[in-house]
Amino acid sequence: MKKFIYSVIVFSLLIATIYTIISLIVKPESMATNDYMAAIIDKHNRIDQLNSPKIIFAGGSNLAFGLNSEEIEDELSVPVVNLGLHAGLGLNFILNELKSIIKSGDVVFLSIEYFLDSDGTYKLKKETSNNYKEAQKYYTFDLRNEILINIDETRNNIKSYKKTKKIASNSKPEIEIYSRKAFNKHGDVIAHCEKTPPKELNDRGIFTYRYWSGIDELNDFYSYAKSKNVEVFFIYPNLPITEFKKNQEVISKLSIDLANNLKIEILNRPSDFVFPDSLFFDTVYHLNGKGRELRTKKLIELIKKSTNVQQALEKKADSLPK
Amino acid sequence: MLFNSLNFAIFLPIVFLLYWFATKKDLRLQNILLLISSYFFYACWDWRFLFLLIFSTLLDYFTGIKMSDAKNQNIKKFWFWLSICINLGFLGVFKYYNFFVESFANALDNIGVNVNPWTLKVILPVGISFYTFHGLSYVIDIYKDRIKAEKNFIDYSVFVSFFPLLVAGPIERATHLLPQIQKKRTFDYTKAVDGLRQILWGLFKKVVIADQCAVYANQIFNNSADYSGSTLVLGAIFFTFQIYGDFSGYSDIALGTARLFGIELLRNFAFPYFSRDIAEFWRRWHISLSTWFRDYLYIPLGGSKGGTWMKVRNTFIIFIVSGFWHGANWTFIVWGLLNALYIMPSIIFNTNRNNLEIVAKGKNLPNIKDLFSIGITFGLTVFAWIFFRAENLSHAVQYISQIFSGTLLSVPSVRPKTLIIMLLIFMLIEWFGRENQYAISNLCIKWYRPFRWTIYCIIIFFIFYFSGEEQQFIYFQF
Repeated sequence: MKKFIYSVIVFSLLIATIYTIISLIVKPESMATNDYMAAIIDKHNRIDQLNSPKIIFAGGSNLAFGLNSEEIEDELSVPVVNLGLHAGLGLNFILNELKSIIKSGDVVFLSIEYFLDSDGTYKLKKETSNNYKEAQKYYTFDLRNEILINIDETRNNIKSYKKTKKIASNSKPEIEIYSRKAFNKHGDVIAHCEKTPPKELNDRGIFTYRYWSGIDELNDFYSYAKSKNVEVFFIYPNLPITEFKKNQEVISKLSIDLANNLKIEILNRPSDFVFPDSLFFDTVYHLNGKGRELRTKKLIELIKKSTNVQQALEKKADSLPK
Repeated sequence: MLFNSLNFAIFLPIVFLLYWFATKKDLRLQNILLLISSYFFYACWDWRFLFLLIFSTLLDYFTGIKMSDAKNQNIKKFWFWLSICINLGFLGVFKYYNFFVESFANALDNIGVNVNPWTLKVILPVGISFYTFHGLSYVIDIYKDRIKAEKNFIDYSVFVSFFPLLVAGPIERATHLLPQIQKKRTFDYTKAVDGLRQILWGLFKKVVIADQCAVYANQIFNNSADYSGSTLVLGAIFFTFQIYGDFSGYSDIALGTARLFGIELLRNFAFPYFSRDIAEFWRRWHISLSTWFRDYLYIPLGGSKGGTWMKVRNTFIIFIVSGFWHGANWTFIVWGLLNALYIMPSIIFNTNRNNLEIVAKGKNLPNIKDLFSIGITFGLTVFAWIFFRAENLSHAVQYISQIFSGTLLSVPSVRPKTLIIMLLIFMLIEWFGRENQYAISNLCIKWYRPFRWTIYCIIIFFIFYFSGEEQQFIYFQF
């Protein structure tokens, strides 16, 4: 038995050594800092530069693709940061990120994708924290996932080892939509605005009704925000009309649950941000340039119409340096 | 929990260490550990179906004892049929109910009667066909007085639920496995190393051969209308290797894992694609199922004793039932029927036991006759697999007619060179290892350790390189 255990350990160490050597050889020379998730760096840089009060939009990519933060800033005369990045990060990550940055006097607008999962995709979270170390605090470390991701990355690095070298010498200067450069300084994706959209919208689907556990998470966040003197408002995300019609019954049940249980004030109805399919870019949550402008206009109207938001903003405006 | 998953890579060493260190001195504790581990392994899929497994185990355990204690034949018969009916009842409900109901509704629809039958909205419990057959063989053996009922519930439960064989076999017999469970096991270094080697080869077959072939087989079968005849032939060949790599790979991992615990399971595959006729193929493919049907269906039906007509009838029955065992779909039944037709000449002319020896035993190359026979048998097998893989009968017919649509001799539009080269190398390794239990069991065994380990490292590299998303084993659905 001892001989067997000894052989297995020695062989495993040999494999681990070979693995480590190979993964070091095939590791790209510099970590890519131009990928989409790296935009979190710029968003946080902006937050660090701005004093409170400020307006923060938080949610998934429905915000990244569907908001003109600059216009909102001009209209409301309060600095705006769009934190929206990717729904795949999960609600928990998004709220933890918010908790780490909100300061007294801030106003937060949450626009969360329908039935957004709390945990999200570990790989995306890892990718984000690879770009922005602070993001490690927004999710729980999971050894199993870490190992799987490491193995996956090494395998992909081996497979693309030669290709990477070729691409590096022929790289195109064009800005890709899913890259850090696609964002403006406010945190909005703008690279897609003038681009021709793909023929089909991705992520079409049918929602299944259940009590959304995100409501409780949002309520917890609300309590935390209140204790920090931060105002929070909820906005339904945008959706193409075909998707909305298909899921109308489920969405209406969800909206009843939200109305009954969410402590955060809801500014709109789900149908308010339903737009023709032609105003969407590549997925059911990504508006194109025109759609983005339309949604922004509607949002500004909503904000201006809401007495509570106005009061919150006025309170904040008083504290702005004159 | 899949054999090719990180979870299993953690689970196996933990159970192994507990088995040989914490419970080594007490056979009862060792068996309890195996049972708990097996139930945990099964519950990782769906814990709710664990109750079904436990119920099935309890049923056969108690009916076994009742049969053994029965004072007269009628009571024994009662308990025997009770067990058979409930076992087959569960299998029937979970696996075949929807098939029968829908087929009946379709038949009525054809004569203008419209019915909307109630169907079950439940997934098939993993491994139900396998553990039901374990239980059936046990109660049949007791009924036929071949064995005595097992009084120790833990030992019996381990026989039914031992995790390496629980979800996709091999289908064990009480006469083979129970004595090993009852006997104290001692650690054997050579067997354990051999077990690890067999696990390695099984993983290679699954990840490198089966999963890579699956990519192209799925692409071609799912879009068969768009491809030329030659591409469709290639698609069928890819599926032929996919199912072999998948199922025999699974069996290798199961056998190797069991060997780590000092338990020998029944061999399930013996290089079936080197068979010289269909009878030999069926002695080498899914051996534990073929022999199960032989012992518990073919022989009770009269076997070969009643003359040629009896043999023909019984052969058709076991092949159709065998096809149906694979799944509730007409494609499996036609696949079984086709194999029955293939084997018929050798049954009628009594040549079905002509090729009992390993092909070209002791030689490197087969003679021309053997090579030709292997080629023909392989071709027939590939053809039959089309029915096995097709979504339904009309898909199979469309696939086959497309093969003969005049584009059979064109250059295939899908030609994955790396995969084809890998398949050729794989078949060479299998050929040179065909006289062993599994292809690499003796490969470089006498080499100096660093060279031998280099070979293992290369195999591991291939497994690592080609693995990705954990892929299900095909036979889990049966």
